[in-house]
Amino acid sequence: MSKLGQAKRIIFLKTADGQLFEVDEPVAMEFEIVKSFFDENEDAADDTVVPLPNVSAEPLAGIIEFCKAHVEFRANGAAGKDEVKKFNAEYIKEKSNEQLKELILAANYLNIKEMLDFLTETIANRLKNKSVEYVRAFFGIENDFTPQEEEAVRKEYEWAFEGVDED
Amino acid sequence: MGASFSALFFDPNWSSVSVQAKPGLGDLPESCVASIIAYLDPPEICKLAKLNRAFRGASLADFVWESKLPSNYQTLIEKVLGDLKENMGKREIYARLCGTNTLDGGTKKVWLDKSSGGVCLSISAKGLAVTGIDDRRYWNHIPTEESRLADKSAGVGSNFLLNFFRGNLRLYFFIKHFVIFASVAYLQQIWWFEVDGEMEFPFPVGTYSVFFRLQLGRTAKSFGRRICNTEHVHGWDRKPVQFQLWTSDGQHASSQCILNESGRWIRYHIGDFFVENANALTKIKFSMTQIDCTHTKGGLCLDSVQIYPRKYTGRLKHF
Repeated sequence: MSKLGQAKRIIFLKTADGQLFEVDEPVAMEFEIVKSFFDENEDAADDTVVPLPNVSAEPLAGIIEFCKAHVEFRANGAAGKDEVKKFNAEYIKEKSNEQLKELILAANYLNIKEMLDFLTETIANRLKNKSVEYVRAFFGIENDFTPQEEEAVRKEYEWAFEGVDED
Repeated sequence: MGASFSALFFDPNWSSVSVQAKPGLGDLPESCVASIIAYLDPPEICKLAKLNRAFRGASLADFVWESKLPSNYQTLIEKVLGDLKENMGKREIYARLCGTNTLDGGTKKVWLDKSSGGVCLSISAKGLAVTGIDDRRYWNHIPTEESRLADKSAGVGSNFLLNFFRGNLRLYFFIKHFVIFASVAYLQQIWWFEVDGEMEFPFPVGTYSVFFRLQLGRTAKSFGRRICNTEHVHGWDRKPVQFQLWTSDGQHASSQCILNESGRWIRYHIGDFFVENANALTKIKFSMTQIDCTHTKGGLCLDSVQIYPRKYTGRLKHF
């Protein structure tokens, strides 16, 4: 195993669309799902390919980029510093809403806590002060309430909207 | 992106899950949605609960609301809500604390600002020590729709109503809404003007501003329109009134102001105080005085003393 040599161990990941990724072990271990795969299969061969049937290549590439940078930040003791914020801002700047959605789904499936925290906050920022219709379109979801449920929710949250700015 | 059929080749067992269109974010699990909405303000969370079932479910998550409640909310619950069911969810606790809750026989009310969870307090004229209040030549309590506070006597009957409706949150708040209107103290004229008050409360950490809410002149309705009777207004433009504030840990603030605007309710800023320890009770005392006995003053309505987190000051509306 990797402990014997200095050579870095490589983890092989295969996406839903059939692409093979070679990822440095510390980066791959950021993915809780990969980590538990190896915890549960201790005798897995070094060239085992971990299937990731719910993730396609594009978001995975983005996720690896993010995790790789953050593993390095931690190794350099830069965690929490401006450098990290700058990277995160750059990272998210180019991402469309669509890409963000794919990233969060993938990060959720792979169970990467740090990245999930970052993505949920980023998405929340993009949803601030937006209408219900906008948010529905953003997530591509339908209203699945029955009329009765809809009425119940309306009542449930009436308190939040009456007499706003009470003084 | 290409179709995902190649997944079939490396592990046939996965094929049923993997061979499908790109997942929509509609599939995002509730826990993820909850993590997203936890970053939003409470009114936005409530708004988004109407999106679909997953959002509604997420909007009930305790951790979402725990982050919105003041850090010492357990103490607040005890002080403000008292008899709370043990299994009450954090969202409902938040909603309850945002409602108008009364203390000390209805002379004080406390509520959380819905958007930010900050603690706001109001002490009605009946909860203040007013020199000469029992002498009707000087002071009278007059009914009004413009007070922000519960009347003491109205409090008794309405508490029964409130308890009755406690099971139905909507009706509960509906009824509460009516309880807050009551009376203000009206000064006809006096030589020695002094109003004192105090409040002991488990304030969450932060800086708070304290105000007197006053109006020169007496509001009346004439053919359904609001008019202001200023016949007794006099004396306030000769010398300033003094506002003062003390806290149990030695803070003191004061300000002076000439009152010269009639006909609308104004909040006069006494000063600010800072709370460092949310686990201790903070006691504050405040006063408004004009005790220069060379002249009388009158025609003033006293509604309440109000305490808000300082950061809201810019948001307060004037009447």
